[in-house]
Amino acid sequence: MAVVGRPAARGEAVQALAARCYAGLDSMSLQRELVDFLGRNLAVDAVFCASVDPATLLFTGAAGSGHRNETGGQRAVPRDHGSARTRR
Amino acid sequence: MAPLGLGDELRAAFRSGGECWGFLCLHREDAPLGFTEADARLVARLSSHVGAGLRRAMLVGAAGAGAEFDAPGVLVLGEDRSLVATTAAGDRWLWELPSPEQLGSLPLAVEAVLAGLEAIRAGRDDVVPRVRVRTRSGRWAVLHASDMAGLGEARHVAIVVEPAKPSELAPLILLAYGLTQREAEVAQSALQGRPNKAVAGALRISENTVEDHLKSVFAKVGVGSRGELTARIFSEQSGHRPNQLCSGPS
Repeated sequence: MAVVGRPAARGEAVQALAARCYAGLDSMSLQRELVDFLGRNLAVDAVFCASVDPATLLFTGAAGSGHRNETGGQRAVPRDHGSARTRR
Repeated sequence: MAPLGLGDELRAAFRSGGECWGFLCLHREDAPLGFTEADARLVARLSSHVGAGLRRAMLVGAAGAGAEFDAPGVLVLGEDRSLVATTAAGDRWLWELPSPEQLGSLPLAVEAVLAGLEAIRAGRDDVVPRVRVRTRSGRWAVLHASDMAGLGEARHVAIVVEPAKPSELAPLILLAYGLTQREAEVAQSALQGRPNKAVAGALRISENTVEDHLKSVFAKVGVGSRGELTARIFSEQSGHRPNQLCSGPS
């Protein structure tokens, strides 16, 4: 099982993050909280989250974590995924 | 993704109100079994909430301090994405655009329109690479990219950054308030100063339906009249607006 933590605790964490989505956070703060949540609750090595302009699906802001954001390969993720549209 | 050292991948789109507001990409380096159904369920449980959160976040930003310049700026980038030249206004816009914390040196909106341009070159897309983005000071800017010609062998890209026009921004703001497509159409007509009869004629609906849509629009935006609606939507452009979005799911 790759999901980290007890199911009950994980369910509470999901509910807490869902509530934060309606707390009036700015985009970057919400994305940072999501990235932090996923780092704590899923066994992932890299996370990339982006807000997009819904008309073009081009990225307007992003948050991420994982070693790829700290090495020479750091620009690979946004460059590769500069738009959600290109990979859909 | 293997050449990048990234293994299995899980992606999600964050949707709300029929529109996509965000995107998620998760990776595991070494996962023989890949992401599990439990993983996908957890992300799916969150996705609509995050979509709503990102939609509402379009209306949250710094309170329009500073940045009183209105001139369009131009950035010229080389083939390797290095900054070759800027106009004075372009240099100011570079400071205004939000930059990623760890993801690179160019503002992400610049990277995004470059990616859009590359997608057009590769024939993967035909949508003009434009993006509307809220700046550090809370105002809205529009970026668009195009190939330059006449500078010799090297390929250069021109990126124009300019304040978002009300006509470009209003549709985004209306969707961010959670309006349906029809409500947004009615609201945009109202913002153009059309009376209900003209709105009804243009959209081929009854005046009573226009009134019903406008009531819903006013409730979602949190205003009580056409005048207040106009003031609210257009004040969003400069970032000088009240911030009242702290209610629950809708």
